[in-house]
Amino acid sequence: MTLQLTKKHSFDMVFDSQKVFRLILEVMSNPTRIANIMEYADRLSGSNPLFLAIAMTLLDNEASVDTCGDHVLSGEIVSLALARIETVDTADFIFISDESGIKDVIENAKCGTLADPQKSATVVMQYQNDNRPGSAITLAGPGIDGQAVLLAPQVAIDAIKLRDAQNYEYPQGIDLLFISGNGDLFAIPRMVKVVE
Amino acid sequence: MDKRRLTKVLARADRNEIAALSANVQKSHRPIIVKEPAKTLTMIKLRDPVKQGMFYIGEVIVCEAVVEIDSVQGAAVLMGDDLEKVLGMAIIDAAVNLEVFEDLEKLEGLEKEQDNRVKQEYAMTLNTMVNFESMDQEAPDDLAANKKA
Repeated sequence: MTLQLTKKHSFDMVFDSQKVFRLILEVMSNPTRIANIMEYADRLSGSNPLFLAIAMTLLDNEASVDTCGDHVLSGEIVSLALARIETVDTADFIFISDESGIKDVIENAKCGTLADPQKSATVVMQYQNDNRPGSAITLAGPGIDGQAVLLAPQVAIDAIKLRDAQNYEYPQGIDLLFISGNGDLFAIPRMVKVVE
Repeated sequence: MDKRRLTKVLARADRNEIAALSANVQKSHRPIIVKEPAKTLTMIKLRDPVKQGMFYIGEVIVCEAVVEIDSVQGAAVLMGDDLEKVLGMAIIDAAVNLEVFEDLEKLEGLEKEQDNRVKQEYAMTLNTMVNFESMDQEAPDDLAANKKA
């Protein structure tokens, strides 16, 4: 056993997870702010290192996940983060990179109950860098001082508007995390709404 | 050799035996570490001998490792904190999963040796065994039937 083995991932389960967690916390508490997690995702190899970095940070054996049909990614998440695979309507975390499936995800993801609004889903959506820039939208809610203007790809804007159209009962809703192909991360938590 | 038997043999084997077997695998294949050997805690489930119910007796320290050979994974979990041994077990498991493990006969030899040792130890302690007659009438019927048999 003297041979030196190579490691598949150099991502540190403790310290790198902590750093990614701080960044996710920062973007969640400051909607529209952008943080980059590419540095940490680069330490993971697999079909989708960006999703894997978020999964390693947020998931454990008590969390359930749906990857919208990406079996390779779900296999990696199960073996590394030990999360359970569930369907879109029961999963705590939903990872989606296929833009055409976002409507189905937002309409079916669980939004918590009035007594337990925290039992809602967090949707992590990946969009491609070359996506056409969308129209700007104005947002307001917790974490935003007054109003903030978000300039994001159309697919993200559509997702936010679609979520608002679900008219969840306060304080229910789903949290949205968006990640670009180069690791830029921003979040629109469930209480942040579009201002017309 | 099924997984249950394989794990039992590997877990009872000496760390040097595991090291030799895994070194043999590494002569022809290059394992990649997916999850580094690390310590963790796990709950231990036991069956209560009287009421036959399952319960958790407590947590125990274990170490676990996951490796990959030609994108086929192998994993091992072992009670204790012998990180090198658990890594060797994971490598052997991956080789078995990939169906390239060549030392199955050695493993069977090890199994026989271990079984003999257990039998010997059992024989040594057998004459000190005390037979408790249970006066508890609440014991389930199937248990009483087992005793008669």
